[in-house]
Amino acid sequence: MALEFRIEGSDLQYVELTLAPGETAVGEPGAMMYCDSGVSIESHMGDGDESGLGGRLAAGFKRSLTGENFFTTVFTNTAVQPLRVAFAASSPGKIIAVDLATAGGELICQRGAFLGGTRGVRVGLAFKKRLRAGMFGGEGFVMQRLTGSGTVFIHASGTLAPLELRAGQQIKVDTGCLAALQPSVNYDVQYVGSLKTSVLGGEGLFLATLKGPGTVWLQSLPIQRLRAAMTGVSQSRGFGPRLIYFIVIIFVVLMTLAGRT
Amino acid sequence: MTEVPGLLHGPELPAAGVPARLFFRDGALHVTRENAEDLVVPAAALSVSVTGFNESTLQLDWQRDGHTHAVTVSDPRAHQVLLAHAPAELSGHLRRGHSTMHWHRRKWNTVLGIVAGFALLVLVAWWQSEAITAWLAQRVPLETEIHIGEQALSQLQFEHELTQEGAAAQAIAGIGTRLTQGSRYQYRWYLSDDREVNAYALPGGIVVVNAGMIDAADDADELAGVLAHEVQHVEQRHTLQQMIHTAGWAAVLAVVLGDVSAITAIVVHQLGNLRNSRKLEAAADVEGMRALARAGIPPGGMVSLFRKLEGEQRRRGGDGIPLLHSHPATADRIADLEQLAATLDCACQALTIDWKSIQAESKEWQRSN
Repeated sequence: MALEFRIEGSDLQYVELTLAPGETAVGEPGAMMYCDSGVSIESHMGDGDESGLGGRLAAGFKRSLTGENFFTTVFTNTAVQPLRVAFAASSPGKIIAVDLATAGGELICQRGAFLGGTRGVRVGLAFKKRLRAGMFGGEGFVMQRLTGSGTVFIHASGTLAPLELRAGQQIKVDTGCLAALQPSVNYDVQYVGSLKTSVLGGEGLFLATLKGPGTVWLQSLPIQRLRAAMTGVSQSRGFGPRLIYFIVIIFVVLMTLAGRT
Repeated sequence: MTEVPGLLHGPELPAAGVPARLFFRDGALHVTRENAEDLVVPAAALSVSVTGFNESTLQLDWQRDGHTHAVTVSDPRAHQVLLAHAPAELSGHLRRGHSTMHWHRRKWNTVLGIVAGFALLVLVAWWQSEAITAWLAQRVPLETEIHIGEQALSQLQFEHELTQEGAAAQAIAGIGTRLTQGSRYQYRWYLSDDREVNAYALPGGIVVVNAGMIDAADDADELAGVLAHEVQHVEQRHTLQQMIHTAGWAAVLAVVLGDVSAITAIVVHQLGNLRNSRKLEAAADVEGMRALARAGIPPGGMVSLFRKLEGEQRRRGGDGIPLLHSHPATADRIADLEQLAATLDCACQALTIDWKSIQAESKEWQRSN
């Protein structure tokens, strides 16, 4: 039975789910916007369906590492007619629904992307083992691994859209713009190409490279950049400003040492 | 024939791929799936690569009609089966791909090993820090030590008037020379016009006695006790040990925290008020007392001075006497020293110095400054 839902709004979205009698959905604490009065709301440690305290603690801990809450809120329709529950996105951006069954049963997302889904969806850790991708890829070493067979709603700031990659097809992506990918996609970083471009080009030192086969979801405006734009704090990109900072530190240390002997 | 599960990717197939089973037969790759014809690709047309989020998937791809087709296998057990059954021309490539996948695990083991090793090193360094700094301090060349001492002396001369002239300074030098017979250091003795009850040793053999100390001591034996203590700081390179100790921890902090500028500030601050640890102070007491006995000076002077200073400290309360900040004269320490003084075998004679006239001369010099 496929989950019935509709996504409302254009840039400040929420998703409204219709739960059949007895059906259950899970959401991040604080994401619930409204629900019909026959829907029961319960908090669970972990993903909501582990047995045993140890398993729940472990699942909760993994969730909190991936930018989610330690707890999950579980919404169950206790009435005999279909009822609604809605989850709202926490920042300007898009909500998209991914059917895990057709996506191969597994999806890797950026930290904090999971908004809600059908019961049984697990939020796990996807640890990026390639050092350079973890350090310079813009998503960090820890990402979310969503597994299960139901529908999940993921949210990212900016405009979020899927991009299909054929086997061997490769694209370069600005670091931080990767929102989600299928595990069959290879994710790495590449040096931007020349010192001039990295200092003056404004794209930073590295670009993420994504190689098919599989689908990736890209976001147009990572939340850090959105925050910088809204607070008026200019975000320094590229290596130029950092290089100067580094040189100043070395200079100060050398001067201190020279002054003492 | 051994089949393994995989996913088939092609231009007209969904991006996530279609479940398929693959096996090798007669030097060709066979791909079977439901409701479709088997695909047969000769091994020579295949190329092997490693793909997936964490390079944990083997990919075999080939070209047909200008499009790339591929099968991907992510199950580690299936990798072993493929390796075992692949035709000769492919097995080399497959083996290389397989070792690439293992490379990540080895790399992370190495990283964790290095981190654990570093943590262990810091722990051992903390545990054995005194032995390590003492060892390092013994390896500092004499010229460097003298150089550091000169720097500190010129700093002191900005703040206070120092002299080597006059009866008081000569008395200090006279007693000091008796105490430092056969030392590798060329000692220099200074009297400072500072009225705080204090004395200190700089690296390389510079000993400074404050005028306040001359006033506080009741006789030359007590001054000798102070000098013997300070000389031991020089002989055992205590100041250098403290400097190395501080600098070493600053270096460790800089590596761990990655913040160089804050650490530099700490080092500069610490160098400004170097203090010897209680352990080093106790070592200077014990060795100083032995040196007094060797030089034939009554070691009781050191004890009586400390006892007097402690009594004074109690009466004053609050901040008290500066010497006791850096030389905490606890009752235990005095008791230990008394016990040691009793066991020392010494043909000692009290110093025959006219102490009253030296104190008067020192006062006169203080007034003239």
